[in-house]
Amino acid sequence: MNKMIVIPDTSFFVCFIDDLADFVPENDRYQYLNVISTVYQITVTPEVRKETSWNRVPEIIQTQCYYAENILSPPTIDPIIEQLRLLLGKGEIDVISYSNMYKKEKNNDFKFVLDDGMARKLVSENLPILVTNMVGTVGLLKICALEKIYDKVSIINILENIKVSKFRIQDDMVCKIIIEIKESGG
Amino acid sequence: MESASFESEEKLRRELIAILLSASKSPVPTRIKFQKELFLLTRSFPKFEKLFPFTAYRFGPYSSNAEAILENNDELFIEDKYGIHLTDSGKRLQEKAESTMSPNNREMLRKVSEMISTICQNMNDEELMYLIYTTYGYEKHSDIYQHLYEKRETIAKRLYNKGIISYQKYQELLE
Repeated sequence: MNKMIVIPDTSFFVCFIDDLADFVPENDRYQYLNVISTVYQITVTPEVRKETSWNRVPEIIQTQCYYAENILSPPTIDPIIEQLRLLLGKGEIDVISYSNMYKKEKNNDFKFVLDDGMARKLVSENLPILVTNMVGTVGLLKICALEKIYDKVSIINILENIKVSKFRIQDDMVCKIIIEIKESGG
Repeated sequence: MESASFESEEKLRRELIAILLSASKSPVPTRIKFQKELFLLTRSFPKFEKLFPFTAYRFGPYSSNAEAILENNDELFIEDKYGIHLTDSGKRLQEKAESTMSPNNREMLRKVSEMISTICQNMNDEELMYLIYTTYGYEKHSDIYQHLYEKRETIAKRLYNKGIISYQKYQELLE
């Protein structure tokens, strides 16, 4: 079975490398990244690698990730995304552009990770076709819990740590995800 | 032949400006903003770059063709104390131009024009100029880039607090 493609923004890697550093031991943080990059086809765009400072990512995880430019079609100019370029970061635009291109090629079994509230709002308002493929880092962790990639307790634990970390997300959003995981079956 | 080609390009220029201005709920307040809105339109539709070649000038990307169209077509475009907007003839030109387009092209051009108008209306000239300088360059020959760069923290914070840019963009503006 093909692994689902996941195209994360920089904030996803920064969450595990930097934001959780004071709350979760390094081994555990990288273990999460390791498992996620084993189960999903984590596809990293050039700008996201640059912004993450890719050589900071442990080598084993690097080798499990794919380079977007090697497996996805290069994005062509999209009139709407060109306007978003003025308002969003280079990494965010890269993630949206590759995702939009992939979607245009009639692919639907993929997710892209975008955490910034403004970026998500702009995608929802202007590129509604992409909304069903958009998740945040915590949303991806929820999928990991629901698909039993990680046990619920571990995921809830990491979400509790995300809540108190520097990761930029509203507390109530994390609480909502935690409740959804607790109430899910299995 | 050359003259016919020039005329048809001038017609297209007038039509594009009319469509852009029609997307704005209120007059475009300044020529700087008008130039930047048109510049953004050409970023989305590179085929129009030939009609409006933009060069780096005193306040960022500038098109002399666009300036000439505004200056020489009083019957279509008004510039008064409210800003730059369409006359009734200008509105008719816009409607006629849109009616000749395919539905997809018309819809996309309108959507992008409206996006540009919404984006630009929420910013003052210096915020818009600094965003354009940091995103696209064009700071050569600028009268104000250095001044804006020195104010970059204030500008970036204002744009972020107004909910116009993402945090990642905010950080890029500070670089």
